[in-house]
Amino acid sequence: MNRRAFLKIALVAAGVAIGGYFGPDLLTVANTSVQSLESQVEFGAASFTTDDWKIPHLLRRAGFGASPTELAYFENLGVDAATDRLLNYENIDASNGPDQPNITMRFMRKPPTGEIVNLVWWWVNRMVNTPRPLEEKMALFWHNHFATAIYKVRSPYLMFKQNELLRDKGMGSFRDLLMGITEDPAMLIWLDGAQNRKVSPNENYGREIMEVFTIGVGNYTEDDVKAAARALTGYQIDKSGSSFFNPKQHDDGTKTFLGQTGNFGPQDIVSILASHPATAKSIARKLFAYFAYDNPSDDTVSRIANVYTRTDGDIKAVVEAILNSDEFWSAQAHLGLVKSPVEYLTTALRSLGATVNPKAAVATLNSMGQLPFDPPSVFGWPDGAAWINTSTMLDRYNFPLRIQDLDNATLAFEDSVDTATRTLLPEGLPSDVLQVIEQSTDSFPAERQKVRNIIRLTMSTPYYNLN
Amino acid sequence: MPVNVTRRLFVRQIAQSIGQLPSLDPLSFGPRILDMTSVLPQQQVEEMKNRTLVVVQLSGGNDGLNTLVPYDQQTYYNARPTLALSKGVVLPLNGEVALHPSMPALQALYNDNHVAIVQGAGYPNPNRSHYESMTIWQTASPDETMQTGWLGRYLDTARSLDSSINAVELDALLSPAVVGEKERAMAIENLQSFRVAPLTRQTQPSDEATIRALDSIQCGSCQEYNNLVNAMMEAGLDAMTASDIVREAASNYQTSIMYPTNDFSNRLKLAAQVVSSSLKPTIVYLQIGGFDTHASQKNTQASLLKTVSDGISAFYQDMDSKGKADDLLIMTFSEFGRRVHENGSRGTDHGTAEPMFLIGGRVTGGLYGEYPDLSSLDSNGDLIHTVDFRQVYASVLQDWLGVDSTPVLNSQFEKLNMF
Repeated sequence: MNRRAFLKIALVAAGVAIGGYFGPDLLTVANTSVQSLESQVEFGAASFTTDDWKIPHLLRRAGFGASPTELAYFENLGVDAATDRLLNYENIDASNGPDQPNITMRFMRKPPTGEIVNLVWWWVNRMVNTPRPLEEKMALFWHNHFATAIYKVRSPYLMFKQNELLRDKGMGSFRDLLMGITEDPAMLIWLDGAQNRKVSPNENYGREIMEVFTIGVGNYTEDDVKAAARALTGYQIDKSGSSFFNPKQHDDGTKTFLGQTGNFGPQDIVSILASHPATAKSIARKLFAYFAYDNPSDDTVSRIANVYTRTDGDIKAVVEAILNSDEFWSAQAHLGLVKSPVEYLTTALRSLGATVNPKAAVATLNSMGQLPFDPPSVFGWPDGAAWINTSTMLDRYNFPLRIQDLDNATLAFEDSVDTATRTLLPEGLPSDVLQVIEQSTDSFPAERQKVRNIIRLTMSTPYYNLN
Repeated sequence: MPVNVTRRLFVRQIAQSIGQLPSLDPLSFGPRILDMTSVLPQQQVEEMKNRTLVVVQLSGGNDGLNTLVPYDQQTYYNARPTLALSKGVVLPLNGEVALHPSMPALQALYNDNHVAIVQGAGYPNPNRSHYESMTIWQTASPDETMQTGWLGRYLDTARSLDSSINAVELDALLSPAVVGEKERAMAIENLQSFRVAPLTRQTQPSDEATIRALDSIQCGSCQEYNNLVNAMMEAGLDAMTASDIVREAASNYQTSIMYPTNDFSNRLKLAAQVVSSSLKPTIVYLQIGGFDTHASQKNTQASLLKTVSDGISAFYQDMDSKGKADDLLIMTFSEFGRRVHENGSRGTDHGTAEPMFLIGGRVTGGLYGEYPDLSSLDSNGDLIHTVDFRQVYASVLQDWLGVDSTPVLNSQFEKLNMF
């Protein structure tokens, strides 16, 4: 039994609960298996056994990392059962969670900062504490895909309602999700759908639904944009913030769209786009890059896209195919992505069982370039190497000083610096990096400072910042 | 606190010695710095080293027609029943074109001969996607996809010959424009957070230990797992070095110029501080968003253009008061202009050609290129460009930054003589 396995059992024995208010239905963790030594994966100067990296990898990608106790629970399940549990999250009771942020429906020139903080923190807190991490991970994926920003929508409440839509339909049929987003009030404001009238159509949504949400550039013409805009006319928003379809503002004439002709309306456009082969490929590619690695081969994309086509756009089937693919479990995938700012922050809090002042969370995410509900444009956030620059690296060095409630972490850190760093990065750090952290920690007199220094330096390593 | 200017160089040398960074090989392929010594007097070569190019990106597609208004053309008024700006309110530059009424500050600079306006900048087969067209402007490559930005390619060249050349983007994330194959700009989002914060309230030896550990983590271990690890280590080291320099300069910075109070002007003020630091960036890049005016354009654009005009004017005056106007060139662009005919939501949809503004002490003020013909539109109802934007880039690279523009732009473009 290695030191980490010992720690897991010690924590469970000490009754350290995972999660927070959700009260997860954890089974008793017993008989944590001795790690097998089937093969080795090189990790800097250190190497670690195959089974040691698989569950941490799965929990980072299909979730937001895990506390030592949660990690032990999933390791006890094994890879297959762990994947199933993450995927079939509808079986997990999440009814104890916070169902709504403290915001009210109204339209304002400038939404109060307090409501934006409430909204962002409500979601970040869900990511940190949910017993259904993949549900939030999918909501985050769709928020980036159907990127909508509060700076134009101006209603925190409508942003919240859109977020609920992304969560409710995020693992169902892509057609249903696309129809939902087409009628979503925040989206109707964001891409001017509510301004799109029969007499003089507004092309904004008609263009982006093809370019960004479905088939992508190169698969449509400027005439298709105009036809889509006409077919999508008629949506309006009432004072309560609900959307409705006004037939008087709808152009029900004949349109030719992507080679098909008819008096198309919104459902037809959504349907044609959802079943388009280019949509299957673009959604497959984007989901694969989100969960596994960038720039997948054409063969890989085709295989995943076939799942989309065969299941008529069943998102869960596509995600399942990715999580069960050889590529997902390859060395190329392991720590092959950069933690986005949201992943950087939530993984730390979830792993440590810690928290942070909501305003500090918002300030940090904003400074690192990924404030939820405020993506820079309809194209969402950049990814990978784009998160790395002089400004964001300093943010990553400094955020750990804002983490609060480190009691659980302090308990875990009594064993050794190595054990402590493994709370944040279960695979462990290369030995020379570990040595640097150990040496600098000696120079802090107080116990609390030592703990914070370890957390800070671990989160400042390039390795923690990979996902 | 004395600034440890040598750390970055030192750190870079260490990193190079253990193979972390590409070596500064002057023979590496790519564009070459023009041998200015053969064509220019020594004094002018020295002066060029102090120059800065500040690129201001107007994101979303700024409506050029209501920025540089063709106010003597009835076609304009016919196309814009609710959005046209009347002859009585615009700010005339001559008998044909006028500035938007919210830009008197820029008009004043124009009247002082410090503003060059390129009318009708664009490129062949215009793309009307925000993303695609922005990528085209940032990579300067309309025909084929390129992974590097035009200023990134400039940096690849310039730094291979002079490693002290710096570039800074004032934002949380870098634009593709400033990312090259080997080199990239630094990012500074704000000054307060651009430092390694101390773990304890008082500076004490342990905080020095933290800094040393942070340095060592980024460099001492050097266990290469993948190229992302290298990128993070290099950015971290650059950041720790630059933060000392920039924060010191900021604490010494003073100005009597009143900048407007908004985020854009705050960034321009930060630009003034960074330019005054010993980082002496050759490139500063920043952006302002919100120009995608599909609906209710009138007030939105008026407010944005006022912000841009007032902010740039304050920045120019600040630099002028420090005797640096002659070393300053500000260039604005947007990913496209907007459609000539307004839509049904009192807005305009995505279009093509647009005016670019170049502002600086050495600029030869005036209008460049032809205004696009409003009666001869393309099949989509959009303006046909009269100047390729890469001609403007070529002029800036060659005449302002002193490099051969052909390899950076992968082609030769006829320059506009703006300096």
